[in-house]
Amino acid sequence: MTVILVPAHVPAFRTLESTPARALTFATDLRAVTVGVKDVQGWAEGIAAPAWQGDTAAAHDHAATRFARRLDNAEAALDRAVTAADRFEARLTILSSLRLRLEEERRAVNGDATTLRADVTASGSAATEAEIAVLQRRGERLMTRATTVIAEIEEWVRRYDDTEADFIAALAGVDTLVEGRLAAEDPGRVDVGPLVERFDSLRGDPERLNAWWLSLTRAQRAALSTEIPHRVGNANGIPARDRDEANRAALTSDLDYWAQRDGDSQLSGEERSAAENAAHIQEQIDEYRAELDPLTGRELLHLLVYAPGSHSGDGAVAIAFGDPDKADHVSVNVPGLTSETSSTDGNLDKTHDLHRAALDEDNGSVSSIYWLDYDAPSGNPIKPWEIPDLGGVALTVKADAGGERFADFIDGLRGSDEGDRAHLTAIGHSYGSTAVGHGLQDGAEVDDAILIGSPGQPESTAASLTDADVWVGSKDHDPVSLLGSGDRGGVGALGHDPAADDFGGVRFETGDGSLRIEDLLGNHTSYFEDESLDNMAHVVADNDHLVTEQPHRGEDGGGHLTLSELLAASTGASVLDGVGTAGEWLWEHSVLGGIL
Amino acid sequence: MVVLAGCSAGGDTEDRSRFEALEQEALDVVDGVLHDIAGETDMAFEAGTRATSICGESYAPRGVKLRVFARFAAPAEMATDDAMAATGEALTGDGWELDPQPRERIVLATREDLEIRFDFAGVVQVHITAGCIETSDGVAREIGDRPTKDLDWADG
Repeated sequence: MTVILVPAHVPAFRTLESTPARALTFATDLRAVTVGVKDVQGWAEGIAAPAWQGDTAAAHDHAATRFARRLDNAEAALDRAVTAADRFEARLTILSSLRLRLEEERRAVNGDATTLRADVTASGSAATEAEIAVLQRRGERLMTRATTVIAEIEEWVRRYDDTEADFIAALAGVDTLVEGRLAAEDPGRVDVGPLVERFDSLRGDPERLNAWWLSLTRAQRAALSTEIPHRVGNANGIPARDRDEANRAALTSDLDYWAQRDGDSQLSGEERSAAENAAHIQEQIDEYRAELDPLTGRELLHLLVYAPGSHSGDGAVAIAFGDPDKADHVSVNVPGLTSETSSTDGNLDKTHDLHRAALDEDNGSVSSIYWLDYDAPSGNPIKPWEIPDLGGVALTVKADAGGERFADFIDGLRGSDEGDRAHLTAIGHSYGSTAVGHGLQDGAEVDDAILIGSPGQPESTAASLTDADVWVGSKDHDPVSLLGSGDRGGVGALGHDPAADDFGGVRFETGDGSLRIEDLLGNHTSYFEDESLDNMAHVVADNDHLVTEQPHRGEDGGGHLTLSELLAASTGASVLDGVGTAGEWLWEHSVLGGIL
Repeated sequence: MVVLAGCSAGGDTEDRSRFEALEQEALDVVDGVLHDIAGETDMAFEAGTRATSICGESYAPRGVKLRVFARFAAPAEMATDDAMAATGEALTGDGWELDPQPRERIVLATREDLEIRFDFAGVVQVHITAGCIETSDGVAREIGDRPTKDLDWADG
């Protein structure tokens, strides 16, 4: 009798009931509570005795000291719990990735077993010896694969059980008052004071900060991220994952605090503005909370900058899709005029579109960052009377300051980068392109720079701006892109037109945009679509050879209208189109001549 | 791109209706073919959202974008290639036109103004989107500001 071994189907195995994403949520909540307790504990320690004397003063000191000590016990217990939660989440992330691989292999083995069984049945008694030998070899190989995957699954289940048991034990170890006191009295307890001092001394030096951070124990990192979450979350050089965790804790803690202040009618104007910005950021996290990074099982979104009260109340935020420290390709998208935390929604959506398009390039992993940590001027880009000091010093100063911060952020990404050096692309839109230009002048270490809808660059050539490859997206019917000096260019208040032939960048295809006057601003705000988006994705994923180009302004075939010609022609086009709203639109924007 | 003509007050009503019809169509896709695919491939629903945002900038919103997202556990028994094939078949049967696969493990299809995209990378993540639905600025701001909602998923 001929025997062909076909393995039985490998049964489905346990799903991750505790997922990395859920563990992150738990750790964030725990961290936020810890931040709150530390704030109160710090306050309690600093309570000064009123001007009382004798027994009253002694009673006050006694009560305050006891209160502070009890809070310290709680803080020590929470620190341990946060450390345990971080470890739990890290182990789950590894198990999650491993599970994906095992599950894939399990289903593949089962599929191959089904196929083999069908082939054996089909071959029947008429099979030749050679055919039988082939079937037998397939069966043996399949048996080996099935045995291996079963063993790996058993090992995985054991590790998963251990992970859960360790976490439960760690939490159970600090869930009574006595255990809290013991944790506080533990001689091995992290002394966070010197760590904070060292941390502060290294801020501004991302590489050294990163190296030092990675040398810390998990408990030390956890203690720092609850002691000074805002500083840890916003420090360039701290790993993206840790920045995300610290910033989420800061956000949750801040929202709780401001909600209480609001309930007590004590919220100041500044606090209200910051609270609204924080709420906007929370809304963005909620919008993308369900989306996971398939590589890690963690949330796709990383909160890299969270400073809701900065930049004159506009707030600062940076959000990454994917982990920039681990990605092969990283892009950083800087928005322009009028951008503030409350306008993150639409801009983040554009960044998400770019992220997906860059992933579809199929040339490695991608992280796409939206970065708004500079004071973008307010106002309509073609309603200059709404923009203070257009063409004056203030605008250039803001772009310059923004560029410096941008270069620092890029340094931070380089400092926390893991593995092979990431291919990094800076993207600036509108005034954001000018800020990026200033950042390039400051030496931002990027490989590619994409300037879209740019009103001007601080240098007249790409070569004098940066060593990076410079790509320019500039629709001829985008009025903002006609503001720069250059071939038939505008006033050049913000610098040179990068689409001009003499600039020396690569002008990629974007199309010209509609000529109707009511669409002109739409032309300026639609670079993250169609062929323009495709070309940016090519650059971000380092598929430069796929970029389609269009002639520079001033080059053969690169004829274009000046801004005043565009406005005249577009008004005519709208009238010819019989668009009833053209007159109204023109009336609303009737001081367009002011920017010429 | 979905183009809507007119931006007057009456146009606002039309804009809203047009958007709501498209949103309903996307939700019908969730209740229809997406449920069918999840059932056929034995994918368990885990989480989902539906969200809107403006297409442009605050000074020129241009219109609204719609994003419906759903995440599923990987098919319990079916190999990824088989699940992708089953997904493609179900979509075609529902009137969708399959687009070229941009990379491995992606199934992409369009039907009129909607695009659906399945990413089979361990978990299965599905996006249903429409391009920029052009509306008046006022309607764009109003709809774009709507808070994100969880996606209702009826089992069974």
